[in-house]
Amino acid sequence: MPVPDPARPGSRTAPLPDEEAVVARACRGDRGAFTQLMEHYQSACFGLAWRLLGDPDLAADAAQDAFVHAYDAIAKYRGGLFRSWLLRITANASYDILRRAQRRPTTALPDAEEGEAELPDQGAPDPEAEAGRAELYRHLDAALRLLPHDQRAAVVLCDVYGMDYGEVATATQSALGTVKSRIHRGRLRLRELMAEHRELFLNEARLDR
Amino acid sequence: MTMQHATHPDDERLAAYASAAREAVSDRELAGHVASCDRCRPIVDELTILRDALSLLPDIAPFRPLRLIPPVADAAPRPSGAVEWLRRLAAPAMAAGVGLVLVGAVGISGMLGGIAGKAADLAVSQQSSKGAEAPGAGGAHSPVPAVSTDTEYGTRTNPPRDQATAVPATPAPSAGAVHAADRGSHDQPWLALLIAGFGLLGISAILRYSLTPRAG
Repeated sequence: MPVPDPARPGSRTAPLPDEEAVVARACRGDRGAFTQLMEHYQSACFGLAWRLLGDPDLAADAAQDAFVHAYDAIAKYRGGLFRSWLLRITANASYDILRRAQRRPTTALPDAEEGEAELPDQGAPDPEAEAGRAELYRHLDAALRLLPHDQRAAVVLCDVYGMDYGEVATATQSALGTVKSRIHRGRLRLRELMAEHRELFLNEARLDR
Repeated sequence: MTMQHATHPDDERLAAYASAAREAVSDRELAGHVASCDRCRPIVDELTILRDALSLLPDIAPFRPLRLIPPVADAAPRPSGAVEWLRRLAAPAMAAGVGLVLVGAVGISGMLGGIAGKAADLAVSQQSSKGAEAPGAGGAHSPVPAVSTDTEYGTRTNPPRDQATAVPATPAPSAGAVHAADRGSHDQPWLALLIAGFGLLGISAILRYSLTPRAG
């Protein structure tokens, strides 16, 4: 099974310097501008899909589907953070794939318990300054994969990708109260799963502050 | 000042407090408990740190190249609902046009056959009436007697023609005028059908051509 590579250890895709202009051109049907945006955000989309689906192949399919949906919908894009807009589309595309997989029980989703082997390498131990952080991220992703799927999806969408409760409820087709409960239970479970790495976890947090 | 409490809030409530949920934060009793409880305060702290760490998880590059844009064939802009509806209507409209043209054409060809027959009929009746008038020259019009006439189409028997009974309500016109009026009134619906059919065919073909999305 191929292992996804990190975009850059510990990094998140920042908006393009001239993003507003590029988005405006893409909205007017400029295929070059659209390609530039998708190229820029593909790691964000793939990362979200991978964290929701737990399988690199399915995640690549979901990101691919998201690009097609985005191409169809970009003329109707009405401002706001482009990354958030694209991630909402990716979450929906991932859920479509998840629902299809659940309707066809032969297409088994990867077992969370087997997830350790497929974890992305969040960064080589060099340079040293990034090693601890990269390790923390690895453990966090591993712990996320051990959550029940509904809790994992809620925590990933809310805490990792910054969606509000309403957006999570829409993406997961769940009630708002259910989403809140899943997020809270998911965080509590994550805390327990991270217990053996508590020192690393707290050290990194102290370095952050 | 911290202390051990006999009872603690539900952990989900602590998680809500850690995520700054409004209803949990505005609960002063809960806030007071968290601030003073050795068990609950670290839980809230860790949950807060956990949220911060989650928000920093990095993006992940796809392990295989992704197609960033749909291929050109799929990339034609999708038409709006009304336009798509019109475009879909074009095919049945074309079929209806073809149908109308066929019905009109069949009707008209049938009509032309009928006219040819009537023209022969007219020629025969005019010929026979001349024959009848010839012996009684200068006499008043009288009912034409049945007469057998040899024509180029063969022998036919003409019934007696009483024009007053043929066209009862109107003054008796000549036989030629009756046929002309007859042809006009029966011709027009077929012609109209034919023209409408061609029109429908043309308009729907133009609609279909102009509304079909094209790549590029």
